[in-house]
Amino acid sequence: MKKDPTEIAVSIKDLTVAFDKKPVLWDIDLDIPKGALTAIVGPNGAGKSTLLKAALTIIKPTAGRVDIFGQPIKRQLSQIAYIPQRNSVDWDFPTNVLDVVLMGTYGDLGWIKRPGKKEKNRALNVLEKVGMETFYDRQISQLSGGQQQRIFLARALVQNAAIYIMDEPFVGVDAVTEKAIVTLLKELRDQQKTVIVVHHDLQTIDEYFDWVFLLNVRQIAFGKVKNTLNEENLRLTYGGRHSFITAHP
Amino acid sequence: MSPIIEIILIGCLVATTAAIPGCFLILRKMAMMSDAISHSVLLGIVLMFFAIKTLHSPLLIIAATITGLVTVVFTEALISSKKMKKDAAIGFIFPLFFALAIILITQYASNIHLDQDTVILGEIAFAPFNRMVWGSIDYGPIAMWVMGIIGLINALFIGCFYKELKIATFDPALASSLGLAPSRLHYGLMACVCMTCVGAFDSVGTILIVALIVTPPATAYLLTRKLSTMILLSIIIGCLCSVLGTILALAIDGSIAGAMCTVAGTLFLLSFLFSPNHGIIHKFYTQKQQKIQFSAILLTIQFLNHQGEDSFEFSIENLIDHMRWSEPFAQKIISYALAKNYIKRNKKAYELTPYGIEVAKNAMASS
Repeated sequence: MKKDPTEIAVSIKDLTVAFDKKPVLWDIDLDIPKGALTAIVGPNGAGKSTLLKAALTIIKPTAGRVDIFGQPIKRQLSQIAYIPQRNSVDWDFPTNVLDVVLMGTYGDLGWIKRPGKKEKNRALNVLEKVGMETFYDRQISQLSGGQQQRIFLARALVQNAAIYIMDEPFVGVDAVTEKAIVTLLKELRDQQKTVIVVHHDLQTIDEYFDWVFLLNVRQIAFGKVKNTLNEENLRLTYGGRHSFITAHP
Repeated sequence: MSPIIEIILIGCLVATTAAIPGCFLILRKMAMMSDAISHSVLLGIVLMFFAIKTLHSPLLIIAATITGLVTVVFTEALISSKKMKKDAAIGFIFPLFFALAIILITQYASNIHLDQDTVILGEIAFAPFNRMVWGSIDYGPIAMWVMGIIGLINALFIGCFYKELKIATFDPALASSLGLAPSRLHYGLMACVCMTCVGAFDSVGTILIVALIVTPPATAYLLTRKLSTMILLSIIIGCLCSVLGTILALAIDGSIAGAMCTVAGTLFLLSFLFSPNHGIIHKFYTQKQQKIQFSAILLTIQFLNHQGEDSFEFSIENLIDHMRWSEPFAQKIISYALAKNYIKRNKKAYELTPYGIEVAKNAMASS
């Protein structure tokens, strides 16, 4: 069955990443559909973050190609908003909330040009969407984990991208913020945006996501959550240890 | 211009030039890279000197900048090979380059101006003797021109790529996903540091320039939480070091560069102690205040829970006996609670005011 390329947001072909001779990702083939919420799931060291970073050309893959809407990734970077793990940055950096959100506009601005009034208004707008508008001049060192995640989300929203790629957005975030973020992600999906999330909690996949990619260095399975998230696939992914994590049938 | 004024001006230029890239080095947690660069540029200077036989050529700066960058590349290659930790890699490469340079100087250039002492300490006091003369007009000391031009390049680089450097420092992954090449910016910044080290080499030497790259930005970091203010403050602090340092050196008849760096260290210590938001004293004071505040609230809760009981529960003896507070501490909390109108005196004991009851109830409800 030939798939319609315009319905595929991210197409990964034969992607392998190795550090010294050790493969971290083995020959991944993946077609992530447009306008859906996709979870990437696997145990620690399965290569989830590496998959995202290689797909975004932040690290150089040993082999493989990535296409965005049928075009090579290099020319499509502006279509993607990437949200790294929260602890990947130094929150003591001397800057405030508005400034961090403004960083999302730097891609559109290109080199040298500085953000102006238009960009500031866009940033304030998205801060309102994530419920952080009153925090705009707050030092980022004073934010809680949940607030930091909202700021990162706002920074991605301001990019106004077609594809949102998030690395473990729910780590260290309280339940209220988690629900708020999920609501926003579902809104994005309803606007035909593509959302890809590295996710840890097997219990909530059902509730949050449409598609799921199970990964443990090699690809285990990919498909609609209800067809894919079964005992057999989880055993292959987690090697039987998942029964400690979830009581999923 | 009098030589003293010229020395102060050169010092200000060195400090400004060093502070600008220094801010980003601090925030990237790679301050020690400036130490590595400032030492290894010597190799470039020596090699170029052998090639062109003069110490007064821009080619020296270019050669030195290249050796500085080579140091950075080698050091980073060693780190990413995972065979060596970051500090060890820095400590391995630059002394090697520096040692090579020292051997070359002592073997083949011992009769010229390039001797170890000048290299390590520099001598800003001699800078006014070396003058830029064209035709018969004296344009001032060469060092002033050299530092001025390098400072301008640094300011232009950071001014043009301010937003790019900010994002590449704060979140390199995002920068690269937005197509804002963080590694190119990284080497640009390193080139700025290299040029700064070469330029400053004559006036303050290889060790003290590190103090000027690291200390004023580190001081500014304690005083502000805004990047642009941090850069501005570190320039002001750097210039302050130059002025006060020169005055100090004249007063004690000592090394000017040494005095400048001593002032820099002192200013850092002062802001470490007294910074309004991050200083140790402020932290100590707020912690103490918080402890007293918390204990006073604890006192209201204790009183509330024992209301209507024996009057011993409301005496200072009870605080000492049951709550295991020391007598002076108990006294302090009682007087704080009295001042805050949480409690009032009732003959020998104390009792809660209506406000104190409210405070205790609120505290219990919110926890």
